[in-house]
Amino acid sequence: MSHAQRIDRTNPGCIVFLVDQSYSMNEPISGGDGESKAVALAGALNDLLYELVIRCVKDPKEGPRHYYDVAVLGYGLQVGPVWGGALEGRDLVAIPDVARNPIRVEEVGAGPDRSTTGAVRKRPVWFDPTADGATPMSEAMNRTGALVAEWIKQHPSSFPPIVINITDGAASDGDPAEWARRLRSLKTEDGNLLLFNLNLSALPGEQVWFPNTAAGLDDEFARPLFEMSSELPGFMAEVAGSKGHAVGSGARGFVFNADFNALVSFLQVGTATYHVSRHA
Amino acid sequence: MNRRRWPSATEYVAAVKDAPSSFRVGPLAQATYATAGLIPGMDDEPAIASGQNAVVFEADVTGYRQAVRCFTTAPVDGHLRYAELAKHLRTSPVAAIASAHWVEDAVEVGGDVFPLVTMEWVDGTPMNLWVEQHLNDREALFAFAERWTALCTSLRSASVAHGDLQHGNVLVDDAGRPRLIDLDGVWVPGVVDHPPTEVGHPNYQHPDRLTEGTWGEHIDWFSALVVHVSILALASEPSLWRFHTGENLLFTRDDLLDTDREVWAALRWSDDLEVRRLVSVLATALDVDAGSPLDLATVLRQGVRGGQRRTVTEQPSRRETASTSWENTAREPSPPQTDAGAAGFFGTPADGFFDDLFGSSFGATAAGAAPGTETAPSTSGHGQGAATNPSGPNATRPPKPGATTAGPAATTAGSGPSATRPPKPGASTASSAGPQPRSASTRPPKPGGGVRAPGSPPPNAAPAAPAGQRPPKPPPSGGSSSALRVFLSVLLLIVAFVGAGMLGPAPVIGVVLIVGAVAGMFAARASG
Repeated sequence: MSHAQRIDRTNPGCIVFLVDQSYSMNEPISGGDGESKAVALAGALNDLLYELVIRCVKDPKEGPRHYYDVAVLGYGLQVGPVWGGALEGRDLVAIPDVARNPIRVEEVGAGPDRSTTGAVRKRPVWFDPTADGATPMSEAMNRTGALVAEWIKQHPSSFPPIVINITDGAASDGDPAEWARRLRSLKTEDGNLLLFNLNLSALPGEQVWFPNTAAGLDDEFARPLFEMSSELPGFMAEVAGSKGHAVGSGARGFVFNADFNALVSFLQVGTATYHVSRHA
Repeated sequence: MNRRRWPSATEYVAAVKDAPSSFRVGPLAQATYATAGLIPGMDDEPAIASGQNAVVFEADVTGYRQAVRCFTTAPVDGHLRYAELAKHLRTSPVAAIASAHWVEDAVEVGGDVFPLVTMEWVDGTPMNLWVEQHLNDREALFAFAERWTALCTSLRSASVAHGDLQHGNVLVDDAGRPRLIDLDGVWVPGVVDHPPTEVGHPNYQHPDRLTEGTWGEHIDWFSALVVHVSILALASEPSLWRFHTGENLLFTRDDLLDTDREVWAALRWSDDLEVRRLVSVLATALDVDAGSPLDLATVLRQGVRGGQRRTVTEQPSRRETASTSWENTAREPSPPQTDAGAAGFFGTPADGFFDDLFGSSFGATAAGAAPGTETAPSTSGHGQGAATNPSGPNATRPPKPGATTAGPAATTAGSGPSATRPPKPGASTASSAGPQPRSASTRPPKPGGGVRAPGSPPPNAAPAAPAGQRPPKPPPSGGSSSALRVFLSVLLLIVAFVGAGMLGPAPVIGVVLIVGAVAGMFAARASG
């Protein structure tokens, strides 16, 4: 049984977010109240980083534990880590370091899905949105491969790295399928790297959640992303199911035409390693 | 209920910050919540601790401190479980369990309303940290071990099983008394048909429970034993704390899957004979069913006799995938745990076939032999002797305790080694203490391993061996010293024969030498 290693301090996890920062990310996101895709994505990812920090706290007096190493790589004008402030230029960062080094704290409407009325809440910000240039997705995956292969050497028995790619289009630097295949072939003793893909939509349209077949994926962007995506491990499929998505056998970690809520939900499913991070 | 989107930790944080409008329950809405500066610039955020399925806040409710446990994933049958637990504890109280209450429709998050659990706030130190603070306080650790046994006995007496005994769920108060928290996986008679989603911490649970989701009244004995053995071992040897990872006491999941790992050897050589005995009991316990009707006190007293035979199932292999095809930066495949012969045999239907064929007679043989397995009469012959058997399907595996001396009386020099290998002290203690290596009673003969009569378990007959994840039991002997003795015995025998030939005129001397050599071999065996 693969993908069963519990994530803890002896066997930390690794999560890499690949963030499309191409020019088209300036378009408003579907369901986002006019917010651009870039802004919505930065907000959702900053929220998720805060969630990961909290998930690493076993004792409030102690602070977060080093359960994860996290990288956020952007691809647009350049390819590289997006951290601002003290973390600028660093790739994988341990969660306690992440917790100590936000750029700032801002106030936003309560709840990541903004359905809560009432009080504003605080959100730590680790990086700001940007959107310019092309979509060098292949190069981003290449960089990720180097990063993650090194991490695997140091953590051979850990839960394998999770790479979450969020994009609104197609790669501008060649077919990323081969890079994706190489990424997915990386493995720890606990199984292969998990590569999940989400396609952000500007227009409301039919969403495709965790499909297990490419049949019906007619869009020119959809099929390649489906082919690039790993199957969801059983426990993630359960999480997806518990969030109301019908998840068939062999479902891939892929969502097409995602709106803002889908993005938040997808991020939660794709990083739902808490069951294996059973460290209460 | 399972279909709704359960809130994230950050959403609960926001809800608690706005308690008056989030909580539907007066006392919680008006409570004050502890804060902690987790992130610079956010000092007034609620203090929060995360678990697998829930986050916990600390509330001061009109002077009473409460743990407020909010669920981030659907608590399966949570309402029923907590209600049944409360009902059960009214008639069968357990002092170590803090009172807990399920509150339906308690907190509103994102337009939906969710239940939560409030618990009396338990002041205490997580067990592993407490142990670390008392590593050099032998008396405190012994006292804790006794309290631990008493706690486990009180659970059994009340027909309650916690389901996840582990350092984080055992808080030790200033007086050294353990208390139990996190009751999401509790077993009480009312939830017999309602297993929870979780199966406990892998560094404490029987490996089979993790894969099979064992559920029932008797799910605690193994983890209770892991804790007890660890505490006792540390009391006599604080340096064993080097095996502590921050997420365990001494054992890890990997250790529980592989009794050849270092921690086992360290404990087998403990200065405390009781630890030596118990570590052997623990190793044996891996071969009985995780849900066997056992309890800690009984296991401490008489081993795992009465445990049910473990169902042999395909074990998960965490090593099966360790190879890569990309770049030269990734890992090489791990060496397989067993060679093809072992896997081939144990993976075939022949296993069950021989079980059926010989199972009952094995049982009879072993039942008689078990209490003193180590000195069991050599009723069987390793036909091929040293040349074949010890190097059988798995040459690198030492025999199980109890298997060592099941060899034949040595009649030729070549058959000697397995018969003369002296077990380690730990193994002999264990055998005489009576835990019954289950394999001794159920192992089928090993085809191709030479002639082996019923009652003679193959040296590495761990039933979990099919894919090599559960290596055989503790090596009962020091390999090199036994080899030396064998060598010397054989040498002596040869000298004796040669001597007898050369000293034709004085055959008496030759006879004396031969007798001496044979006696020496027997002495070597007996002293083992």
